[in-house]
Amino acid sequence: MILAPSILAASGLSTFNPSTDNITVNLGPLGPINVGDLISVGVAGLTILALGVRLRMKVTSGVPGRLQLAFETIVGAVENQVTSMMGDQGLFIVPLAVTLFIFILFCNWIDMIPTTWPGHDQLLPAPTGDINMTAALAVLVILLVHFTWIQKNGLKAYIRHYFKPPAMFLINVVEEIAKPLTLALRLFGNIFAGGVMLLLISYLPAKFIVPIPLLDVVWKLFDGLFVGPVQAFIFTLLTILYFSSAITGGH
Amino acid sequence: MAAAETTAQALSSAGAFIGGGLALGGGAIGAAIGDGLAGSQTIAGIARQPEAQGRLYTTMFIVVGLCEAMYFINLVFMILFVFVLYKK
Repeated sequence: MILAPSILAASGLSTFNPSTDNITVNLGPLGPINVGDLISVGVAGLTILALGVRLRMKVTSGVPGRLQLAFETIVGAVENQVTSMMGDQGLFIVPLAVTLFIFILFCNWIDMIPTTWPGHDQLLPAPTGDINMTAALAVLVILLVHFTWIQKNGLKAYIRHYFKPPAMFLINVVEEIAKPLTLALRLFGNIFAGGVMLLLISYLPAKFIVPIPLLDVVWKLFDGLFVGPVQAFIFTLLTILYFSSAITGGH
Repeated sequence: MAAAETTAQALSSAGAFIGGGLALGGGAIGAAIGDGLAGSQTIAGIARQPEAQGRLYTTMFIVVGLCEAMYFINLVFMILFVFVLYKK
């Protein structure tokens, strides 16, 4: 890996063996960073940017090509969802929702690329299988929702909406705390459990019975074609739902 | 996995493992019941009105995704108990 020598020099590891150890950078009080995750996020981001640049070069108002058709389908579906929930005042949410959906989808799809070899962790793990990534996405979305609340309805309406059903103040506060927690943990749990299942499927039969060659491909198909898109869609749908309750100002 | 040198450490390991097992068991029961309810309502809806099948499928998968999420949150807490907190 290209970054390895500079990272070695920066972290001061003198006994690092690239074929058996995993590259983590220790940030002191902030804890370790998995360099594999950073590279996966870079791969996902660059792929999406490249697709976007290519779309911009080829976008036409005539008969659309396949790439433009795919993007138009996604943007159309998200716009339908947004306008069916809050009308035309919510259209500024659509770029955020489309970005979240495509980014999380690509990050989940990176899990399907086989980059393991014996004695080493996955070289390109799924970035959403790291709690730091999903927590960052969830915190970003929830901060934006609260900021939009205050911006659209004013600070007094924001504080007053916690007391709306008068006896349910604590329940409203707990609900607001549970929203980012469940957003982050739902995505993390689904994708991380998929990775752990992959390890178990390839490891357990090989150790106890006999190595079964294509079983992990079956699991990767299920994980990539079903769990990945469904979880990306649920994240996007819940984002739109939280924004709709913030923009219309009520429950 | 747990080199328990004292009784207190053995107790904490046992407690962590039992807690992890309970979390997984309760989560599996809840997720299965929730998925089953969603599926049964979808079957009833399709039996009543077969042309609504596409929309019913979409809603069912959304509900299944949300129900399974509770189970995976339980899984994360099981990992926390069994692999991190069993030493304390």
